[in-house]
Formats: sequence, C-alpha cells, structure tokens
Amino acid sequence: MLEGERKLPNLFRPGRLGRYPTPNLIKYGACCVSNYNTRDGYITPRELARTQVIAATGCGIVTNQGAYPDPKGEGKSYFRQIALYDDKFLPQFEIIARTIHDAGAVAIQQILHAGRYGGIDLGYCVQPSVVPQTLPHFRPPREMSKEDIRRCIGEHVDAAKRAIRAGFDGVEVTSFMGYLLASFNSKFTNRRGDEYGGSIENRGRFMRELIDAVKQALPEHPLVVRLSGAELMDQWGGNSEDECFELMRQATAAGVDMISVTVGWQEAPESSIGRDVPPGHWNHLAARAKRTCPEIPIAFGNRLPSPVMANDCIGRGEFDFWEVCRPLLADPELVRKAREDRLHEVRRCIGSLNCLSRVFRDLPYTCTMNPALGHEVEPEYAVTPAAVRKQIMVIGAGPAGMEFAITAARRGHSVTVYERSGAIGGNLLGYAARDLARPDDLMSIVRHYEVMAAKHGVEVRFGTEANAKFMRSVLHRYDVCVVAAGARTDMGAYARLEGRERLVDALEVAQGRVQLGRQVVVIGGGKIGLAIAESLAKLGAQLTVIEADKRIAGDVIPTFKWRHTAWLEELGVDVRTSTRLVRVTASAAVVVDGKGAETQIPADTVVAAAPRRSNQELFAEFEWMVDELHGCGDALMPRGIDAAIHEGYRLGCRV
Amino acid sequence: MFDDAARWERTLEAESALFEPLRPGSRIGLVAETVIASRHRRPSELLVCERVASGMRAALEPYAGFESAAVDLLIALDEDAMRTLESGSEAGLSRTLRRLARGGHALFFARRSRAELEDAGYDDLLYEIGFAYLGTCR
Repeated sequence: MLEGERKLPNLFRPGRLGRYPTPNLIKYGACCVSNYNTRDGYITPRELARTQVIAATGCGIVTNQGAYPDPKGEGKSYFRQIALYDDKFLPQFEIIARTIHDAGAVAIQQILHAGRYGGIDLGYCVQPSVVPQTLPHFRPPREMSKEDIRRCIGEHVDAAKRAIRAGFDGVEVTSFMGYLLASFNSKFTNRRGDEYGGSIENRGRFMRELIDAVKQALPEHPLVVRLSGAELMDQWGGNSEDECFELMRQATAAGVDMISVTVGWQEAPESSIGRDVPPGHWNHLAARAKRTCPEIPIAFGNRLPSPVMANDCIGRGEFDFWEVCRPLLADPELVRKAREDRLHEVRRCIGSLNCLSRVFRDLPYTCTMNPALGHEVEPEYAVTPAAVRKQIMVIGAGPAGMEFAITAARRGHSVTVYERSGAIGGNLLGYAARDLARPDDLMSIVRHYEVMAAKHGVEVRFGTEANAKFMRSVLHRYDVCVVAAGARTDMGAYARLEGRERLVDALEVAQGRVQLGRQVVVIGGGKIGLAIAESLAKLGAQLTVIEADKRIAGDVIPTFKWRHTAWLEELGVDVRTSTRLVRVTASAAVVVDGKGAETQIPADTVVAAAPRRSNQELFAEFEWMVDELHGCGDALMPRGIDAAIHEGYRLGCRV
Repeated sequence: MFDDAARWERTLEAESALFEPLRPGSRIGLVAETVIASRHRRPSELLVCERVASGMRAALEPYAGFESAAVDLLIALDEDAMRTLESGSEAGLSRTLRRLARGGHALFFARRSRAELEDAGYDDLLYEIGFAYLGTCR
C-alpha cells in the first residue's frame, strides 16, 4: 500500500457500481463537454487523445462527456457536442470505452439532452412547458407533446443501448443545471396540466419512465442519474430542497443504481461552483442525499476540490464516491499524487471557470492552470527530452517565468531564474493578497511554483536586478535568455498631467509599500484597479474608481465580471465610467465625464492602475548578448495569469 | 404599482441614455412574480415599456402568459422588488434592477435570442442590468 493510500483510506478502498467493482471511490465526472469534436457530433482525434489522459487519471469510474441522443439535435446544447443517435458514431465510442477499460476503470457514458438549453442548431428548444429562459443565450421554447415525450424516452434508451454496444459498462442521464430531466422535475419549468405536470409525483413521471425504460432495456448495466440537491431556483417557483430529495427517492424507487448530486441551475441567481464559493459549501446536500437514499451509492463533488476533504466525507458516510472533474482538468495527476502522498505537488484548480467561460462561448475548453489541456494530440505541447541541453537564464519569477523555467527544466535544460524581489510570484503576489474571493486559490499558484522549482532543480536567485551591466557579467554562461519581467503601470502616460507627482503606482499599493489616506481614487477599472479598490474599501477607505471606457472589468474573465460588480456595490465603491483624470490636487482628483463636465472628487490618495505597459526594455538591451532571446507573458503584452502560464509552458516545450 | 405609467416614464427618462439605442418598437415587460408563478392562467396585467420615436412610453397591457407576451424582455418582480421600485431608488432603475436580480428578487426572461436583442440595441441595457453576465457558472 502506498503512503497516500494509507493516509486517505476511504478514498482508495475498492467500491462497486452495480455488478462492476471499482478500484477506488473516485468518479471522473462529466462536468462539461469539451467542444473538441465536430459540429455534427463525431468524436475527433483531439478528443481521443484527451480521453487517454482522462483514463489515466486513476479514477475508479470514468464518465465520458454527455452525448445528445436525438437526430434532430433538440438535445444538443454545445457547439461541438458529441452525438449518440446513430450507429455511425460508434467506432470512436468503442475506442473511448476500450481506453477507459485498459486503464482499469468502469466506463460510463453520459446522455445529455439539454432541454431548455438545447436546440443550438435549431430555431427552438423543447421543454415540458413554454417557460422562457432567464439567460439570453438560448432558443425559444416549444412544449413537448406526449408523443414527443415517448419518442424522447425511446431515443434515450436507444442511445443507452448503443453506449453498451460500444463497450461502456453503464450510462448516466444528466439533469445537471436545468437540462431536460431537471425541467420536467422542476415546478419552475413544468407547468403542464396532464399526468407529467402538477404534483411532484406527476413531475417526476418523465424521470421514472426514463429510468424504467433504460433499466428494462439494460437490466444488467448500471444507470446513474444526476439530480439537483438544490436548484437554487426555489425563490422563482422552482423546487425546494425537500422536493429535490423527494425526487431522489422517486429515482431510487424506479431502480436507478447511483445518484450523482449536483447543485444549481445555469439560471440560478447565485454562484455554485466559482472560487467565491468555499470548498465544502455544498457537502451537506450530499449527506442529505445519502440519508434519503441509503440503499444506493451517492456521488458528489460540487466545489469539493480536495481529496483530503473527500476522504473525510466518505469516512463519515456523507457520500460514497468523490465525483471530480475540474481539479483533474487542472492536474490530471491529482489522484496519483494523492496515492503517492505528493499532494503538495498538486496543481490546484483555482476555480476561475475559464473552462466554462469558453464552453459557453462555443470555444473548446481550456484550463488556466493546465496549458496542455485540449492539446494532448499535438506533439508541440508535450514535455519531451531536449535534443540539446542548454544553459538558460530567465528574468522574472512571476507565473510566466516560473512556468517556463519548470517546463524547460523538466526537459533537461539547466535553468536559473533571476528575480528582483525576494520571492517567487511576481506581481501576482501583491494582487493575490488583495483578492476578495479566495486569496488562497491564487497563492496556490505561487506555492506550486516554489515546490516544483525545488523538485526540478530550478535555481532562483533573488534580489537580482537584470540590466545590461548584469548581463555583461554573465555573458558567456547562458545559451538562452527568456525575458518574463511582467508589466508595470505606465506612469509615463501621465507625464503631462498636472499634479502627476501626487499619483501613486498601483503596484506599489499592491505590494503594501505606500501609506494611503481614507479617501482614495483609483484610475483604471480593469482587474488590477478593481482588486485594489475592493481591498481598500473592505478596509474602510472611501473609494472611487475612474474608468475611461464605458464599462469596467474589460480585462476580467467573464465568470467574474458580475462578482466585481456585486463587490463594488456591496462595498459602496463609487464607479464612474466614460470618465478620465485631468488633474490631481492636494485634496482631489479632477475628472471629466463623457459629456465634458468637470468634477472634483475629494482624495488624499490617487492610485494609477492603468494603463499598463510591458517591461520590454530588456529585449533591446540583450539583443546582441545571447544566442537565443525570447519573451513570454506580460513582458510581451499585459494580459494576465492565463496568458502568462500558457506562454511560459509553450516556450518551455520548444526551447 | 404599475398603474402610474407617467411615473414609470419619468423613471425611464432618468436613464434615457440606456434606452436611446433601442430600435423603435422594442418592448420590455414588467410583471409581478405572483403572476408568473401561478399555475393557473388568470388574466393579469403587464407594464410594457416601449421605445417610440420620442423616447420610452409606458402602458399597461393584458398579460395571459409567456407565450402571448409580446415583449423582447420580460422582467418578473417579487414583492421585495415591487416595494423597492415603488419607493423609488436613488441608485437609478438599471442599478436597482441589477441588484434585485443578483439578490434573486427580479428575474429576466429572454423572449429574443441574445443576437436579436443586441441587434435591437439592447447591448448597453443588458450589461447595465447585469443580464449580460448572469448565470451560476458565468
């Protein structure tokens, strides 16, 4: 037994799903589709390469992402979602089932009929009743007739049988996030007057008939159903928690083999999986599901990224299988590292929801923390031994520089990082400390680099200012120089501003090097300006944010725009858009709005958080000094963590 | 609270910049949540705010359900939201609606696709009321 297995005995003990034994109690959850496939539902080599990584994660059960079951595409909700309505799709499903089995896991195929979020290629979607969606991304609804319902159940059964023929051991039907099954179950969307609507018994009829039909067709194969523990739509006439658990009772009585508990609809007003939700927040729903349906296994994983926490929950009998997806996108070796007691090496999912932000914009999903995700089929993204081992210097120990350094060192290069400050992390350090959501998530990036740099022998020399003089002193030691010096506030942009000497640099504020007053004006409503403003407001200062554009948060990931808006309102921050700074006096920031009106905003500190400028000067200084000169991250163009990590990795793979 | 159409027109006028880009004929409906939630199709009333050449016009219309509501965007308000809007908010209509939506007191039903709404000039309005980036995983 490995050390990690000893420490996490509940997670790594054998389990069972129906007649299939599982090597552990970890289920790879089909949390969202990848959008790696063709527009007409065929699985691509990109997906198959990704599947090899998924299968190798070490999970005891692997759920393949959701396929829509109907030929019309009423169930299709994502641009490049896979289909399972015809035998023509089977060859690739067979490869996926075989790949999962070869890795020793139980293979489950999810069937995803999106209902009110479906019909993406059609001019409509289908629902139990005509209830328009509360997000502006979907197709107008049509009510399903009883004939439609019967046909839909038949299509689910056919898709399930096809999955089993492809070699899968069982199937999963998802009602995650308000998909078709959920919309029948919920009284928010089910307003039918017939036997499929009204009472909870009637609303659950579609689900029970579906379960019954699949189980009759495939009695030997396990059927998993994903059901809401909380819709978070009850305020709007959706199901209460009690009703959610009554539906789980119905599913169990109908013969389902496992319930996967989920939380929240896409349309719910509150977040359920973002990094503003504390890990473990929803565990009580899984525990209630287990109490409600003790006779079947319960799988759960919403906002539960920690294997230690999952192990404890299973130990307390709160659920049976840890269902995990996004943490495995961030680090496919998470389970192996847990088994080998190397959790300190795990690259954590930071809950940025970059994955979902992209999927909902019809893009293939990627991961902020795992640059290789979705590129497994491309040799250019593989970490392979370097043909020529080089001496490499890196300027800057921020995310771009460290990602590059570690990747290059893994390939056999000798890497030294020169950092002006005394710590790894670059500008991220200061801003992470001011993050109102969960500073620990962002700080985990820094800790990961500290651990992995030590593991792979990357030398980091702190307190070293890289300039031409320094470069001359190390001139012949290096074959390669990588400039990853990040970006700074472009204080030069204020050269002609009256009172510019009173401006304070946001970076200085983030690093805690400036004494601030009680009335603060922040110039720039991008992520840096907002992080500064929110953190200062939380400490009690009176804040105003000035943004020249007509909207704030222009460089913020879509999943977090609303959060900043909410924080600013909660903290009483005065936000002025289409407004620019024209003067700074001893007691005020003087601004002009979009209509040309000048206003004095009382301020004892004015912080410049925009514009940002790349630290590119070293490129010119070093050009004739080293064989290879490269750049990555904000040193090329100010962006953010995602670009820094991805560029650092890609450069590390090819240098 | 929907009876005083003139008051609603003044409220809309206070944020006229948001409504100016709307194509003439664009219609936004406001309805009480109790009407939406009711399983029984009782005839009720809907406040329709319509873009006309001179600005925004507010008028009461009969409401008989989602299917027949001839609006681009339907906003359902619970009792708290009704009280908040009735009392008049210094924050302005759009900011108040954004806050109410995030608090679960106002629910927006899209009756047009996002592309159609944007083509009709709703871009700024959707952003200001928060509709552009609502949703649990967005």
